Amino acid sequence: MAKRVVVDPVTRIEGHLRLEVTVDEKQNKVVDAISSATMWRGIEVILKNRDPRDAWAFAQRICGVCTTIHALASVRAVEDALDIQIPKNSNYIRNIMLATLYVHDHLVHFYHLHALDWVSPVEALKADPVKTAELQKAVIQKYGKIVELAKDYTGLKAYARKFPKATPAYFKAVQDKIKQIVESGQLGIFAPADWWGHPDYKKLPPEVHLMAIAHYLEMLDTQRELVIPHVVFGGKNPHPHYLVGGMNCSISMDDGNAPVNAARLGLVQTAVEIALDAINYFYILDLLAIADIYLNKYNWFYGGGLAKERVLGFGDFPDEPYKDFSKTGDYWNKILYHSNGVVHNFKEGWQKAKYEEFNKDSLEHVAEYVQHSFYHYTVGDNKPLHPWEGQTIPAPEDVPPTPWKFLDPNHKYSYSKTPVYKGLTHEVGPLARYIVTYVGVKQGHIKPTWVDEMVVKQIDMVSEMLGIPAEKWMLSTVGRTVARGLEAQLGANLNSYFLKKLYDNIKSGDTQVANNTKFDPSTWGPGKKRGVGMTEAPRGALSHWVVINGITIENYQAIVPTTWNVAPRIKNEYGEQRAAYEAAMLDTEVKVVKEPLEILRTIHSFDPCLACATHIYNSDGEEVTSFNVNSACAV
Amino acid sequence: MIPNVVKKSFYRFYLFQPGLRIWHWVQFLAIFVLFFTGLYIGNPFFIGSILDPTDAYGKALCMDLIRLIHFAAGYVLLFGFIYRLFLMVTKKSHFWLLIPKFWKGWFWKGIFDVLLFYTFIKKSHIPLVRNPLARTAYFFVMLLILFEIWTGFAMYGLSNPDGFWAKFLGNWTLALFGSEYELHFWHHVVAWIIALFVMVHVYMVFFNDFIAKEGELSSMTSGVKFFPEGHLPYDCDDVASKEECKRLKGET
Amino acid sequence: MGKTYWEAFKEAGISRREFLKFATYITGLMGLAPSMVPKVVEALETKERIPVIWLHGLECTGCTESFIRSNAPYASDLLLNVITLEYDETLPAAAGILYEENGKMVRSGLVGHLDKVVEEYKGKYILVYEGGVPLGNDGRYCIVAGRPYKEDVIELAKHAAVLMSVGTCASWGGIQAARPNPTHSVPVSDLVNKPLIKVPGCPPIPEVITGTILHLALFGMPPLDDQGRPKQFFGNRIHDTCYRRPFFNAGQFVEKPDDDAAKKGWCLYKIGCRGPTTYASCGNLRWFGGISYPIQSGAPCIGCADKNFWDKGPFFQREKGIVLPNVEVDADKVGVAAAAVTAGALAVHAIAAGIRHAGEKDDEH
Repeated sequence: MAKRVVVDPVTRIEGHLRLEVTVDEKQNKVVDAISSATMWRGIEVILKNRDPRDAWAFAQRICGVCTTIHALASVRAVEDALDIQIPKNSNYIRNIMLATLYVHDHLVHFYHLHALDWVSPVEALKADPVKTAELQKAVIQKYGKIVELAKDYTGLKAYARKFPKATPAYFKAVQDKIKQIVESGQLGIFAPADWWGHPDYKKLPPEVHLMAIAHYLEMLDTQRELVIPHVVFGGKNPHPHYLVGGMNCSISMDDGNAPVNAARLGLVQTAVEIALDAINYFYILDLLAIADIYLNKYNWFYGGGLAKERVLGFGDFPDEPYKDFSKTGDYWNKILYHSNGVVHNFKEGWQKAKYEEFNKDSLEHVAEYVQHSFYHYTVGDNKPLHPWEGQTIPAPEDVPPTPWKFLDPNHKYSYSKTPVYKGLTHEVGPLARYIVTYVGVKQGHIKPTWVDEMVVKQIDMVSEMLGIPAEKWMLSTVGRTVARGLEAQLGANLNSYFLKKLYDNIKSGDTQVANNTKFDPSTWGPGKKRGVGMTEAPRGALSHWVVINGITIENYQAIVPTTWNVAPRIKNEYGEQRAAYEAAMLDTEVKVVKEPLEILRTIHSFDPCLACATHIYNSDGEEVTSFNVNSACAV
Repeated sequence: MIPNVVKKSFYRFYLFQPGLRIWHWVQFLAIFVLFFTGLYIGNPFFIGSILDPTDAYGKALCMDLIRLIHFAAGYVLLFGFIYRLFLMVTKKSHFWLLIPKFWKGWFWKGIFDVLLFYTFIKKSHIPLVRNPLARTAYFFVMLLILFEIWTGFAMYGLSNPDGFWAKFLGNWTLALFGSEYELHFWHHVVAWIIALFVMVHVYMVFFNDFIAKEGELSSMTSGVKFFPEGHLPYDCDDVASKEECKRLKGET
Repeated sequence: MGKTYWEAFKEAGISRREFLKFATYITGLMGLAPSMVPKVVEALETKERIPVIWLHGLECTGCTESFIRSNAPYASDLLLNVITLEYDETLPAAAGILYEENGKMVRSGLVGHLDKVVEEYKGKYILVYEGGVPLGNDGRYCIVAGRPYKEDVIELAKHAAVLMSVGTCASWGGIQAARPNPTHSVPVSDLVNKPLIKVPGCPPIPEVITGTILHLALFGMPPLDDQGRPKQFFGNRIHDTCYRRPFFNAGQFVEKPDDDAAKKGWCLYKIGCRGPTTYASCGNLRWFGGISYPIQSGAPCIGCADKNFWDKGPFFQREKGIVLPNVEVDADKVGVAAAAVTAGALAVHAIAAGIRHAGEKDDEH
């Protein structure tokens, strides 16, 4: 008999997500799955009629976890619309901020948002601290080879300051603290106690649990040091400040009051060094240890889902300033990370996969559906709309009355729309980027940069370590989590690479950080200007689309990574399609129906960012207003 | 012009006592200073852009100096306001100079009469010492000045969150407006309304001096207005001293 | 603050013997050696970390992210030793689980735990919430565990000892409440008639969040200003504590981003800095232990701790314009235009008066 269970709220994510799975109890199989975004904020409606120079601040508040990424996409979109090319320094600084985000966001995701799906503090109590210290040494020994890929481009880093402590006393101290908390009965974030009863928590030896929990705490305190580049260049974190035309943080080696000078760069240098250590000596090693056991010992290859069929990326990290996205497409000539493409059918290996590049000409093929979303289109809900012409008219009458029992997948059931590329849903994220880059390089479509080469090296090295072919381990929940960790390592290198470029450029005498020739709106000229800003957010391909009329925003929308993944199902000329979350859940076993831990694991492997997914649809302001008037609960 | 006055046999009417006149001109100076320093604080170098780092020092246009002058003038305005209140409670005529008698029929007739006179529809208006339109305008301007004093000192005081002004005005005003940004904005807008009043006020004074020949301009220096013989104002008992009114009505 | 387990047992009329049995049972449940039983008993008799329930409405989780950026005190110290975060949606291991049994939805996992915690610590927990509350469409713009967030926050506020709004959304309504406020979002203080602490900021400085919680734990309720904000963190304008203040006083201003003045670190007043009107600790406390704050990084403050700051743009403009239908114009320009119109009208009046006067004179001759 099939049993239906709801996971709501899904925790350790950003925003509000509801999952409903129907499980065949005899076979532990998921027979149907729904993912529903359950909040809407209407930021795109709010963005209308505002100053495009302010858009980044509004857009940035879409998400506080992957903070800065929406600001980056937003300034890129406005610069694309207004034909502004930013100076070299600001390109390097923005790249450092983006790479910093990769490092920070991926690390926090692994330890603080994902780890508790694999490890349990209660199991850690059973560990022997002496054996844990031994385990730590063994892990460094066994997977340490991958650390060789780390590179300090600045050449200033003396030694690894952050290094795992492999002493019994350290693990004993952590264990005692956990003991105290568990014994107090006030488990706090580890509550409730019966959560830890799931059989899967027995899969890893207790020592792995203790090691991971110790690192959970250590990284909770370390993560703040990783984002210091945001604080130096953007003034704060979360939500550092951006500027259309470059950055605010002027550079001067003549003045101690300057936002950036040698001493301030020293702060960035230290953070970049700590990132290299935290990623290479903690994150990657812990990750590989857990992945190895799950894949090789338990054959746990669930959760691949849509990644097996189709993945999508936009590419990022322009090495030098580019002209634009939508007119000449110069962005794609300058990027280092060639994840700009679509790969079909990677499940049969890179040789048989189908690769297609994403560039300026691909922009017209992006669209969104609202078939199962709580919105209407004036052209009818079955037609897709391109984001520049897109609309979102909330459909309050279609939101089922509360309290909800179960959602009906035959009707509208989510505040997320369904984005498509060439009519098809795609998975996006670090895994998608790694697949695109890997296949692109292996098949010879991409002239590889050092970034692309590193991606291929990482994948091949991990395949060798695990003794499993790439298409097998990558296309799973574990693979998605591993790809994210590898990308964090790449991010740490990129951080160091662009910091070195920044040093060199300042040394050459260039201190300009902003192109302020179009700061004054009167220089923009009349008429409509369309722009798009693309980036690879930690969670996947992100695009902001803006239409500026005169000096104000006429239309603004973003298609964000989590939207691609969390989207409700659609049906079009290519058949019935699901987005990545639902597809991955269908590809997962559930052992204990009332404790669908495996579902959480699979969904967490995407690093959901629901605020992204739900705020960002463009809406017709007038329609919204009339809706508000009709709403019965206007207080 | 003067022969006209003589010909029509105007007579001197003593209306404004020295205290009131001094108050008026101090008030004028304070408002003048406050308006222009305020504009400068709102948009430094609005009269031209900065040329070099010492420009502001050289022109004595440092923000701290300008702000100091603004605050000092603010205190002058405040004490002037208090002094005017003091005059109001100590002298009946000084009270009614500022408070419009909306409940009196002749007051409304006066307003319309004066309006018709100003728009050249009527050649004259009912006899008045202080025309009700002006009385109404002054009343509202005093309210605007009070608003500026209130919001100004509220903002001024908040640089010392536990000081007198913060406790007396600042905290609750901020809560009322929601934020200081709004407070700045309204302080600024009302300043402009007062400036527009000043323009109209000055013009009307000249107009009345040269066209209506009531000696408005001189009245604020000498305290004396001129009225034609037989002019029996409705509001004499309100705004002038008893002796002057009796004299005007020929009762002495 | 919280009742210990033993006290709760006593109140429920359960004997010491039963209590010890329970302690032995949970010791086994937690996978601990039997020798641990006395320690478990001791913990159950004495534990008293402050229970905290942290709710999430229409938000971006930036406030939670800011919370974990704190290093003085460390967020880990607070989480493990000062408070016990019994419900949250960002950090906890458990998720909410709901399933149907005998035709009814059973609340299990984290939401089941929430129900128990509220029962156990009635009137004793701190309710922290980030995000605005949408009232539009019966609150169905934010649905958690199948219920509108609006209902949860009102219900949980009733039994809380202290309410704490973290961030601008929770304190003032925040970004979703900006024009035209499509979800009709409001701050919690509009819905709950109870004294509460407001810690605005988008997000607030990490140490301002943890400092307020630490103050609650160590000294009780912090002194608040008229708007409910802790005075120690929101008593001063950023402008009055800004290291660039001397440049303001000297009249040395940045005119455009990255001009020569920007490289010298002069005052950002003229490119819209909201420091003069924003009350926050950016100038004195700064971010990340004093490393920087937006102004120090050359960016004009946008006033993110200020009420309704989103509707006070454009951010790169010093003064808010006057909003006329479809356009927004500078207040000074409106003033000058009004003055010009007035002067013109007066001139016309004067000319008319002159003609009229001349006419009168002619009549007299």
